[in-house]
Amino acid sequence: MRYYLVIMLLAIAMLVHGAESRDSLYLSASSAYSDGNYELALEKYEQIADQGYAAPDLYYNMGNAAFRSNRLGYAVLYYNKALKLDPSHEEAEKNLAYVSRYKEDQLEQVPELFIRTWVRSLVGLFSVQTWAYVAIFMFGILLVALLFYIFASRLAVKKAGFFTGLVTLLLFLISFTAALERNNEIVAPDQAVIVSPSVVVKSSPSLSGTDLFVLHEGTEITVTDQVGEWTEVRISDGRIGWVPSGTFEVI
Amino acid sequence: MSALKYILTLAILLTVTILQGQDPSFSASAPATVQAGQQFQYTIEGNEQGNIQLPALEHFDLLAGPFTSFSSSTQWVNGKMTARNTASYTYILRGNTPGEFTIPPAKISVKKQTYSTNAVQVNVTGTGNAASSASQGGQGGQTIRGQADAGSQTGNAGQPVFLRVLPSKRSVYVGEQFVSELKVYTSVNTRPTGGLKEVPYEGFYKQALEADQVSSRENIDGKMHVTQVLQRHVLIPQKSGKIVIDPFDSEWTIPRRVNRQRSGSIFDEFFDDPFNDPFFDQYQDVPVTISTEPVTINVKPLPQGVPEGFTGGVGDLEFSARLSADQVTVNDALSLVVTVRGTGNIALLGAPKIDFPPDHDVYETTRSTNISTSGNRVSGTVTFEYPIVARHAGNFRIAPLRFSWFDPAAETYRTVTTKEYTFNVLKGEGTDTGAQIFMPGARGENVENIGTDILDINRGIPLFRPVGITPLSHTGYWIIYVVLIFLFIGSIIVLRTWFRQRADVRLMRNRKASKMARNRLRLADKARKAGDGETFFEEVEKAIWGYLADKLSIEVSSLSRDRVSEVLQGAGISETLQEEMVRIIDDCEFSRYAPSSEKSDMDTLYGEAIRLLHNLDQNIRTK
Repeated sequence: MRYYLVIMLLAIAMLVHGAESRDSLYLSASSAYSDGNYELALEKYEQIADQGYAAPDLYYNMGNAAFRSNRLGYAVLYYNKALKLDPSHEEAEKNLAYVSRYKEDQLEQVPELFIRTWVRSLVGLFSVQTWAYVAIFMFGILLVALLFYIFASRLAVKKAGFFTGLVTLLLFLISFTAALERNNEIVAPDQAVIVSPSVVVKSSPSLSGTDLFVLHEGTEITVTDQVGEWTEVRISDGRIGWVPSGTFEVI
Repeated sequence: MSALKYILTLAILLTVTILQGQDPSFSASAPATVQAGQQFQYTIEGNEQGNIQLPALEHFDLLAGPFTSFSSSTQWVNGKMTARNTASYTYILRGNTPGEFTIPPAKISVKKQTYSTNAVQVNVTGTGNAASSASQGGQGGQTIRGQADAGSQTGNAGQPVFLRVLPSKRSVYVGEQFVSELKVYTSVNTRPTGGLKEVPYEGFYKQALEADQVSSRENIDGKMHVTQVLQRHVLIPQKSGKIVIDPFDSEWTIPRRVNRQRSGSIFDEFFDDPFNDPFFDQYQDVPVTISTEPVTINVKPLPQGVPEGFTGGVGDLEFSARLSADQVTVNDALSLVVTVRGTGNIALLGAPKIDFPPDHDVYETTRSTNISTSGNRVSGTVTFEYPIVARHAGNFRIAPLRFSWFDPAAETYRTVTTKEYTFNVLKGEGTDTGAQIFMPGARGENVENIGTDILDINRGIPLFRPVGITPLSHTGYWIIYVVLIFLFIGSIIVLRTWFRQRADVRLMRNRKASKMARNRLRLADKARKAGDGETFFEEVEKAIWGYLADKLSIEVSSLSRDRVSEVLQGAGISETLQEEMVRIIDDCEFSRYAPSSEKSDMDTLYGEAIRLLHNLDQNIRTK
């Protein structure tokens, strides 16, 4: 009994200590940023991220520090990461729009089917956590409504049960799909940002491939395939080509 | 020997015959080999003056001429008088393309007679080959000499006059100053015709230095030359690349010996040398154009990594700045004075860009430059004055100024950062409200964007979450679903059982209702027969209430006379039957407590109750 107590106390102490070191790292990084020491700030923020912890504000600050250290590619990457964790992060959105003006590649967007845009913005409305909890909540209501539908003796209650069930089933399906989609973005991310100053995009996954076009730092790409050290990417205007795998970072 | 004598005599005879006529004769001469792009002299000499008509010079440019000289002499030779005239016409030509060319005979008209000269063959060589290498000198193997093509063919001075442009450096950075001299080398008594112009030095900023007052002597290729620096400049290249100092032409006058004219005597023709006394040589001042060789200066661009605050300064500089006042009232002017002093391209320095606090009127920068030359360097001071007018009261600061320049000696950039400047603006007197904009109708100002930037970082400690862990990757999340489904199934089972049981109870009561009522009526019948009115009415009432309660699955206690019609209505019982039932119950209640009850009343009521129950049983609708 005493033995367990000691172990538990130790575990709590370690947890608290870990959190404290993260917090102090964060504070010292932020003060380095305030002093104009952007490289150092970025380094310290990165240490927190390397511990396997993240927060929207952490990525947002990293984006700022990267931009101030003249690393446009990383700035775009981190703002996108912040927005991925918290799609409603207003400052990250504004700064991303601001730094995007400095991007060398101004790509035309292929017009997307409005329904796709709509679905995407719906999915992007909440984080994976929120969608997951909404799904489970809807599922619960659905089951209760079903019980009402099955057991109500009065017709009006039965009807109410049926329609509530129908609506909650729909809501459950939507939120569950959205949760799966967002989960997939995290578990198998396919969005990436070019971080090398410039990359020659090849027609095939080898150095002998024909040069198709050149992408520059900060350009957002979609990863579609991978062969060895080469990755097939698609840019927003629909063009596809192969780049070496080290030239970009997934969001 | 006799043959030679014969020929000689014949020749003399012939010559005498020709000369006897005193016919004018003209000959043309030019150097056999010249260098392309260089000037040379083409001279026509004759014994009469005339009008010269030059042939078409296809491959040559006529630069100057004719320079005419004329002389006459009278000689007594062996008691015979020879009057001799000499005319010489000199042209300055230049061959542009290498090759072997012929200058066709020129025509001279003398007293309506036209005479021709001989054609002259000129070989123009490429620029690399200096044909007449009278003075091949140089520094570091490069051709930097200038050369006067001073009529070598007259055999006069084998010593030419030449000019050189001598830069102190041939490889400099943009903005780096160096000295360039124009030096004359001469072995004859010479002087520039008219004033000597300044070398233009295109592509350079130039500042004249003092030239040498005295000449010196130098040995060039084994020949002593008198040399003198005629012009000395400090040059500052303004752009990078190879800048060529173009050949600089200047007019010089040099003395040149004129050949003795062929005498009229045949002996002079052959026996001239013993009588070639310098005393009789004639010198004349000939103008020549002397060009310098082009000089190439390699101007290197400034190295990469231009620091912030660089305004083009190159040299050894000092930077200072001060505010004219640190306390002013609103709408008063103060100025920031920036001074750069030192050795370098002071005159070409740009004004440093200074970020003044917003909401101040910044007027045009005034610039005053004070440049002096000391020794071989240009140094000086440049002062930039930035007048500003504060429009609002408050404390303001000007961020530390950064000034950078390139030090060519160390080949690095240097940067100086000043301290931060602060000044205090006091409110003015009277109605000063801060903003004084002289715009009728305008009140206040719009908030203007002075600059745009990214938003600042968030400093509050956020809630850190482990990366890449989502609810969907937790087993717990899925367990919640499973639990919910189990709860659902469990609820269905429990509810179904409960409903079934409840339904069973109702069914039983329903089925038993008539039987129970009959049992009650049987008890009532017994009481009727015994004449026990109280028990009879009680049992009848109970039978009716009991029946209803069982049939409609409600508790007897919740049934009352007031509610009964409502309940019956719900069960589909007609109004008349309801009234009938209420009447019977009322009768029962009434008769129960009545002191006496007739047996006939009991009989009637009994019959009515049996009928009522029957009718109810027929009509009642159970749920």
